[in-house]
Amino acid sequence: MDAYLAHTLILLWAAIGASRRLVIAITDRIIAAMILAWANLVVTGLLLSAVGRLGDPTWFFVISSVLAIAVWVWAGRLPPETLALLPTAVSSGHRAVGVFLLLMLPYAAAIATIAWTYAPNSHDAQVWQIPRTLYYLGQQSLAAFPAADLRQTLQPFGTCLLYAFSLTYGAPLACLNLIPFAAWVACGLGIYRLCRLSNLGVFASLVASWLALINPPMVGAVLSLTDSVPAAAGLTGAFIFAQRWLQTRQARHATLTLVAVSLAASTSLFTLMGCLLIALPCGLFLLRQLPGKPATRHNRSAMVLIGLVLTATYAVVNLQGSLPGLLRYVGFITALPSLPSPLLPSNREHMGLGLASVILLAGALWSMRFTRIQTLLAGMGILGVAVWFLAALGSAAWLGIRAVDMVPILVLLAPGFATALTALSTQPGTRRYFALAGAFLACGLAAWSSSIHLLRNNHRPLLPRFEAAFQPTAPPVLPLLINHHLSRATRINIDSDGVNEAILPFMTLGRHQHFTAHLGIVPDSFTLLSRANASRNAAWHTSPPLTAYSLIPIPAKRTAGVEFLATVGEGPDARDYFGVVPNAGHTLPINSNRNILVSLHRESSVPDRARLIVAGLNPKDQAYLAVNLEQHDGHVVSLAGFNQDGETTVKIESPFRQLAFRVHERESGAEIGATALPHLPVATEITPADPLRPTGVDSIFVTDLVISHDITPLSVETLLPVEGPFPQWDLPLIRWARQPSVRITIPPHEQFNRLQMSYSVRVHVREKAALDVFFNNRLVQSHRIENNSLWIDQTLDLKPQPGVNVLEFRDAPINDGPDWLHYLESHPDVLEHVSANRLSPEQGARDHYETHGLHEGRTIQIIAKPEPAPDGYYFMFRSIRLEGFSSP
Amino acid sequence: MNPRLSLLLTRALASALALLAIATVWFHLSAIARTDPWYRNVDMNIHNMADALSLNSGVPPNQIDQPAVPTKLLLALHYRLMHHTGILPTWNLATFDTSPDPLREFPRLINALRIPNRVLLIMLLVGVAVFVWTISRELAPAALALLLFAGSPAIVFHGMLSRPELFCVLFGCVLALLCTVQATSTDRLARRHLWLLLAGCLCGVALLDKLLGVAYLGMCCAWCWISAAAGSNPTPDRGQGLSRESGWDLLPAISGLALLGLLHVMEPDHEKLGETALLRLRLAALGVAVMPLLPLWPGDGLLHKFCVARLREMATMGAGLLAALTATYLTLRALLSAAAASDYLARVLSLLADPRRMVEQLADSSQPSLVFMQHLQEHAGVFLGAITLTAVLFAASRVPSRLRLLTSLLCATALGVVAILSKRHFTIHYEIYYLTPLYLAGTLALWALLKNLGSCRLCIRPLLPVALIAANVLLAFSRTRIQQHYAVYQDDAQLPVNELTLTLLFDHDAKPHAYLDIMAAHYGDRAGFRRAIDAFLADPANRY
Repeated sequence: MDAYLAHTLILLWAAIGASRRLVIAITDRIIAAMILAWANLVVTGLLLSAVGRLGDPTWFFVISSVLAIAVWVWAGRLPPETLALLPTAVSSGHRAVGVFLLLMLPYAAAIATIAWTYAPNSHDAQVWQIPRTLYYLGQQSLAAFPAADLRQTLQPFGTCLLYAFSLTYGAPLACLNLIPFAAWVACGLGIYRLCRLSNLGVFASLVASWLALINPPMVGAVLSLTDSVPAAAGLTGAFIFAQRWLQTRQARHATLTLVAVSLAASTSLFTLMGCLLIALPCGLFLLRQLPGKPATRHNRSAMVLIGLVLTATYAVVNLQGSLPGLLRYVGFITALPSLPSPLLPSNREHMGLGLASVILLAGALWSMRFTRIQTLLAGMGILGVAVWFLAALGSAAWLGIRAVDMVPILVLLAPGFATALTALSTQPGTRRYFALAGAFLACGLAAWSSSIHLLRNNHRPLLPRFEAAFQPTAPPVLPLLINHHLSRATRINIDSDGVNEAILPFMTLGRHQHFTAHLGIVPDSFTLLSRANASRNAAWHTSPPLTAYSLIPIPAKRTAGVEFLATVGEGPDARDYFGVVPNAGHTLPINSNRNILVSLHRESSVPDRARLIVAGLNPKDQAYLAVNLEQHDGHVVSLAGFNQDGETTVKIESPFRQLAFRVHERESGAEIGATALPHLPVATEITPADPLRPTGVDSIFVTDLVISHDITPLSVETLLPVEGPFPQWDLPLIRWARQPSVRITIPPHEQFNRLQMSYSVRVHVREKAALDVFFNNRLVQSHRIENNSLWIDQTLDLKPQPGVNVLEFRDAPINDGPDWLHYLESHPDVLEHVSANRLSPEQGARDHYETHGLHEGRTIQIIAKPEPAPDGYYFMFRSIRLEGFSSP
Repeated sequence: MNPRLSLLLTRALASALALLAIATVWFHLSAIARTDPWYRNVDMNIHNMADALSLNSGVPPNQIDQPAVPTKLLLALHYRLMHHTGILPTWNLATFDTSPDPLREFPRLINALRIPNRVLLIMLLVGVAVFVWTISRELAPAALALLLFAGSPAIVFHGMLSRPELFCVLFGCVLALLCTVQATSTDRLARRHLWLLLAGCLCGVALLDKLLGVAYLGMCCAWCWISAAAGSNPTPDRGQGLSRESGWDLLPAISGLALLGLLHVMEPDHEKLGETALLRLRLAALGVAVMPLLPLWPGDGLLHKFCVARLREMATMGAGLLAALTATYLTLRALLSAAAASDYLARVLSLLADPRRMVEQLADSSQPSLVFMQHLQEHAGVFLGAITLTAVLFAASRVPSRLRLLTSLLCATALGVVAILSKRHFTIHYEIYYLTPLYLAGTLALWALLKNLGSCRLCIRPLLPVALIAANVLLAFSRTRIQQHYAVYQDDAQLPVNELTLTLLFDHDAKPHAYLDIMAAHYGDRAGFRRAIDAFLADPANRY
């Protein structure tokens, strides 16, 4: 954090130092400093990525600082811009500016307070913006990586390099909010400056700045970590320095324009599209100006060359991943859940364009009709932005463009509104009052909507901040087992097939961690596998879902495999998470990770082909995984085989009975684990994997006495409440039996014809024990437990009786020992002695036998007894699943 | 008499009397120390002694209830110096441990410990004389100030104690203010920045010794604003100054970066620093470093220029303050390993930047107004004299406004310090905090009044030497007053030593663990130590 702050200071000083030599007006200086600092981070990122050192804080600090100081020194050798080159008097309208700043202050304070209080928690930030940057830093380069969510790879990475600045140093996530906030300030200053450079009045310029800063989409964007605000700031800067270049023909302005355009265009494909649309008319206009006044300053060629080289290099590197996959990306975006239209009114959740933005847009578009437009460049710009807006609006529903994404458009159209306002307010009669009323209405509406949004939005409201008991929203609490593993690992690989998956909370559990997103298992990293809960043991359908996975338990596994960690979320968005420890192939297994995970991924274009991925199978397991297609006629078709982790593509021809995965010991050929995915011609409602899901259409009830929150109408006695998980003891959620007997009562049900009971039980305190399972007082299963670290898993099919049914787990005898009660019964004198001395029957009988009875030749009867349970800790259950069926 | 000869004679007499006063003070303190049992005032003496031995062994001090870093560092260096010159065999915990009877090392170590404080006291006396001379450019008032300080038992008895107050006042109230006054008096931009940097650095050192140093930092900052507002500052030479302004602006940035670098180095100890302290230190580093950038904001009004100039001064002074923190770490590194220095400084900075926890532990005075009045009553004459003279100064017509403001600021600082101290229970070793600015204000006001009473000039001038001689004569007999003051402060010379002294010597948990281990290894339990110390002190030769 301290290195981050020191780096910030160096960048700030060097950028401002350089900008003081390059330009003279205060607003130009601030915006030039921001462009230089941003460019510094981009160049540093590109250089470090080229040498595979991205994410190394020391390299980042040194390279960036050296670059910043070099630019500062280089700029110091340039002749300073003189006051004579300033086209407008910057000192006019101080009072109006002061009033504007006073009015703006509460908004700035509110945004700063929210930025300080809340870490980025918008959907985009959690799903792809920050995770993507963390992946780049983890792999130490800007190379593309495999990701199911294409926004993580195919969007330009311009803003990632901005986020990388603080993430490299492990600064708190709230520091990222500084970027949109700084860009917001730059937008306000930039719009005012642009209007003034276009010879617009102070009042109109301030109104334009107000509308640019306080319109609802801008406020919504600056509160969430979107690319649009930095893009807007970059484009505003580009227009300012293009305008300055027209006035001065100085190479420094041209360079700053090029750099600003390239930085803005690299934020997103949407902004890139806008840049192309704007560049067309503006570029043509600027090219026409080239033969005009010659540049008067030296170094112009070098400076322009630097700007061009930087721009071109950046564009090539940035877009090499994006452009080839553009069509794929468009397909991906269109497949995402549709977003509300930007034209819908704003509410706590959704930010629409709002009436103020509509007035702003109308005013800007109307300004095009004025023949005496202030500058032709502005006119060309407004034309380009207008086309961009119409294109965005037209494709909003298709490409998922939101109001907050249109912030650059609104910001760039603000000078157009100021132009219209100036033109109207100089005309006599009612038009003037109409224009003023329109301006005040737009400003008031913007202020009102934005205030409401700032105070009461759903994700980052300001209002609770003023409450005494306010606590910043904590990140979502992850299941303990996930937390346990992820907080300890230093290198984490995330293999996820999820789209729109909020993965960021999984990446903020520890410090100084490196994340990668490679497919499969990375040996030296902890691998987190993320799969859709709906695809667990999903049957092979001809229709979606096109992915399926299954976990194969292998009790005899010799090395660590895949461990089920937790299911996070509910409904269709629920996801299952699995973990594989680093160097699993050389690590001894524990009970919970003796599993192999097989995943099937299908492309919708070729549904009969599937990519088969195996995880958790290590060479030292000496096991072989056979993947077979089992037909209804008993015929078996071998599809693939694995001796270790890997993937292959197989062709699966329907129909078939099931896709079987059988694990055999390599030496003996014995089957040590198996699972299967059934084939269903059409998708059905019921999928049989989840313990709480019914496995058939005739299912009456299904419950798990350990993991279910509600087990009614069943009742259970002497089982303690749910505890755990306890990762330190390698224990999941459990329930203790603190009595020798556990009794489960199933109420009467008319159609109840079959009961399937699965349970997983072990001892923990005792070294050994025996367990008898009774159903309606009939012994149905006996277990002798000799190892207190092994889970006993059993599934029983039982025939219930009419009326109430009772299941019972009883602690059974396992040891031979004297029957002291029988000793007392058979020797009444001893019983009398024990009673007279008020001794406990067992202790009294034992004492008597050892001191007198043995010598007197009295005999004792030997019977079997249960193992004593210290403190009454008899058995531990991790699952007792009961499913009742109507059919026998 | 020839006026020039008279002036020369006055200067010679003033210099001689000042030197005589210094010698007298040294003699008194040495004489008291010779008959002062070493087991008195063990609260601070033994604590600082053990910490100094610990620092010399490369182990950071254990418990920190006040910073006192420069005091302990000075003492550690003093022990080192005395050892390397062959005077003191025991200078660290290793040599303390190898001594057959560590108890026998105490008298030598305590007597050695009193020397740096005596030197600091002499530095204070010289410092106030230099301060007054800097303002007045005359030797007589400087000598008068020195005599006033030398004649004050409340100040002089600090030469017997190993406490941080003397250090804090010398660096924070006298030297830092002197640098600030010099900075606001010069028209050279470079000198101004360097004086301010030094003033900030001295305030930082005072703060690192005692938290109350922050009051003197406020005084120095206030003087920058007040003197400029009064229009008494000379305008910087525009030709050579303004063009280099941005170069001087780099000082705060470098200083802020240095502090951030220090915090980065101390990352393993951030938990000891605490979140609040860490945040405040980071904000301080950023604030100081960014402050010189604020003048970027356009403006050409008088108020704007005034504020910009003051912001630059505050930034430079802040740079000095932060530089003191970084320099302390580097100094500690000379004695301690990187981990130990970081650990020690983290706990000190935690106390400095977030003193809430420490303040909450201290017992608050239930009636602050009574304690306030108690402070005033204890030195009613000094308060009345200084404030009255300052008030009269405002009525005098020909007194420079700069002097009026300076004396007023000193009086206000004294009252502010009393107000802060009244939150705690009254103790006499805190009197130095407000007596120093009061004496300075009184001396300066008196000199200004005498100098500007034009009609009485001839009859008053000869009075000064007479007053100085009289003061010196009084000073010669002031040993009893110093002893009395010392006795009031700490009356724990009885034998056998009381239980608290025994605790402080043997098993006080604030001592370094290595020290406690050594004492336990040599004397076993508390009863064993009691027997050993009683037997040791039975011989009167071992008591001094």
